[in-house]
Amino acid sequence: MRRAILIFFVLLIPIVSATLDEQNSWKIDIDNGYISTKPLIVEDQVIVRTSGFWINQDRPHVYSFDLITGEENWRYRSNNSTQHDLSPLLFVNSGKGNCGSWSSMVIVGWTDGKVTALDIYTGNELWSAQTEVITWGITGEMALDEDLVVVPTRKGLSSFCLADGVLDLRVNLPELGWRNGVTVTDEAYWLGNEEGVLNKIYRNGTVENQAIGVGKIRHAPIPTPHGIFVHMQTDEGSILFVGNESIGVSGSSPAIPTIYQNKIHASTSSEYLIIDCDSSNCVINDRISFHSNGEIVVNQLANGEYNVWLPSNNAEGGWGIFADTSLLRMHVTEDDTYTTAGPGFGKLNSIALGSDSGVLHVSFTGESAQDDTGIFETFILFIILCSVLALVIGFALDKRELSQKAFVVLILFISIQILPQVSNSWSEAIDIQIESEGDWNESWPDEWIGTQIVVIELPEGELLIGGMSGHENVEQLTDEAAIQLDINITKETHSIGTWITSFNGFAGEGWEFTIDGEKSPLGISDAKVSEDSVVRWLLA
Amino acid sequence: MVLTSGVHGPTLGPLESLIVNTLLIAVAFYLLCRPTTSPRREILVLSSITLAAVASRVALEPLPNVQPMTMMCLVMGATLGSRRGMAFAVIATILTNIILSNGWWTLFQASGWATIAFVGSRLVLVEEGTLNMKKLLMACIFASIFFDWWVSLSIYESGMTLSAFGYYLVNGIPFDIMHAISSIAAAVLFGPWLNNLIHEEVVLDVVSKPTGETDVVRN
Repeated sequence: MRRAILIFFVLLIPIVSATLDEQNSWKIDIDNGYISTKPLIVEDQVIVRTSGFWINQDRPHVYSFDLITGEENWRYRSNNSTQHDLSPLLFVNSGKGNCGSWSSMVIVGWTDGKVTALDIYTGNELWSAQTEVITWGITGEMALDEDLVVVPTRKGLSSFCLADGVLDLRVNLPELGWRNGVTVTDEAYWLGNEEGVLNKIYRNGTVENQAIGVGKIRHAPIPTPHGIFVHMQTDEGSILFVGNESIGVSGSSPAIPTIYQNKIHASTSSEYLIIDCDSSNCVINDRISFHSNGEIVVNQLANGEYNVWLPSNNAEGGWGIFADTSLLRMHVTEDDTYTTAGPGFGKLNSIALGSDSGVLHVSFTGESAQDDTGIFETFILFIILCSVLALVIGFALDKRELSQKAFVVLILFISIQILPQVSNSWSEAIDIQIESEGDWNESWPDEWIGTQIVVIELPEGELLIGGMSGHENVEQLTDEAAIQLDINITKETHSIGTWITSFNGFAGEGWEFTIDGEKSPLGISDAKVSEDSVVRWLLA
Repeated sequence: MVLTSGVHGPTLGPLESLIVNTLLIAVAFYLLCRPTTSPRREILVLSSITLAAVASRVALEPLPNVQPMTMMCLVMGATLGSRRGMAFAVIATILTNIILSNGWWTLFQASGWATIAFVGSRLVLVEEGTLNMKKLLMACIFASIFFDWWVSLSIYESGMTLSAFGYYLVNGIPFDIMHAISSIAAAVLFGPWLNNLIHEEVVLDVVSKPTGETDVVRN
């Protein structure tokens, strides 16, 4: 009976904790346009900006609310900004640099071209600077470069000293930009624009630029180990570039992508894309049906894993929460509608959410789960300690049954504790094993090991040639193979590349190739091969 | 392997869900409607343990692949017989998946645990009312791995290569081991208690009621 009562109370634990979680949350209808960019949670306050198209006396604001109670701390009104303000707020910790020292501040870029630095505690203006306005002013994401804030302006780039707002660098560019965030790297600043030009701006003001496609770059370019990633909006949809080379196409209206642990998370009106930059190139690994055009945010969890939040920009709204390639769930509020603002995460497991409804939601029940995970791990450790204690007592008192039970509980909870690490290591080991196997066939001659091999799977049988070397891409290698095998290849060349339409006159439904067993997102001219690659041609 | 979110396999539409649920409920009904002479107490105990199994599975859902259901199916099959054991497995699966998440995989989970209950009834795990722990522990290990691999079939779709499916299975081995460990723990902690409960409440409660000629002793 006692055991039954104990089990009953253990079963109640999740219900009780869920009830406690739900108690702490608040919302406020700011009643001042949209919330288009993610709120910031800084220490004990939530800072959010509003956007819209303003007439008469209405103007956009920046608000600060108490994280716990939702009471307003301060607000700042822009008197001249009348267009949609889409530049995310930028928090800067207090610091010191060559140009002076500064206190903690939030920097705001406005469509009237102004950059204002607001005191984080009072909302008072610390300094202000003016940039050019051509219909709009600043709409892109700003970035920090030591003691400077780098601002993507309507037709160029400016950097200002964090201490006093004095202009440090000004670069004029010929093309207009919109929502074109800037990226700071050790080498230079990177900035796209509405003409598909990627600018590389050195700190001395020198500009290198390259038109990488016909389209619009509306996000901060992302550095990867294989070059700069850009998700370009085009008339037909969008194209993804790495190092100025296309790695794939997708739907319309790209979201603002982000990179985390060498994986780029991008999205369009039709799909969420995961691009893996771990391998020799960035490759689109997964495409999941979803509609997001806003800020994609990665939420690092305490257990080492992470979730990706995508604002859903349709009438239903909400935020899709993804882990790996799975949609875990939609996070919804009662005021959901079209959403481009990502979630803001902060202390006490808090989440701040806003959408075009203009209602700010703050809750403490969210997916960051830092506290939840902490409680869970503490619970596991507590059980382990109790088991050890029971085991010792069992041995000391020669209670065999108690020792046995304590031992199995100990093993069980140690297993639970180490399972995530073991599982990850196991998966990685398998991945390495599979990668090393490639597309090699044990029946092939040993002389072919370490050479380039081509397999063509014709309906009447497989054509095979190996022992080749020195070819850099699939096209070169396949041409050489065709010569050695004495077969004809028919190719077609289009604006987006060249492809093979038939081998020995056999076209079928088309031909596709793999390199070492993996499909390539690139065309035959761009797909690189190594000295031991196996290129396999298959009928589509 | 089978409880990772998002890898259960194809989701079902309303019609498919209705078909799967109807099928499982029909199977449970068929299993429970014979024999007709079961004492009420047996049904009561079966229902209580089923609800306890549901509660435990839901409560333990945050723990990765910790499934006391596997051990319970073995013991239920061994003590109450194959019909009652399989009915227990099917009903408990339907009820828990209503809370956890229902879909194509429910069919595999229900049939997997029902198979385990059937095997439990044939392994002679209980001898003269006493649970053979060695046999039960061995059965738990094999049943856990069998269950995981069986349920993994739910993700197998047309177009999926055998090697990809094999890769999926091999990837899940740590979770299979976790399942086996949790089944062993459940067996050590609750196996004898569950067996005694059923034995005392049901088996000993069945009093023979001889009637007719079988009761006549001919001299």
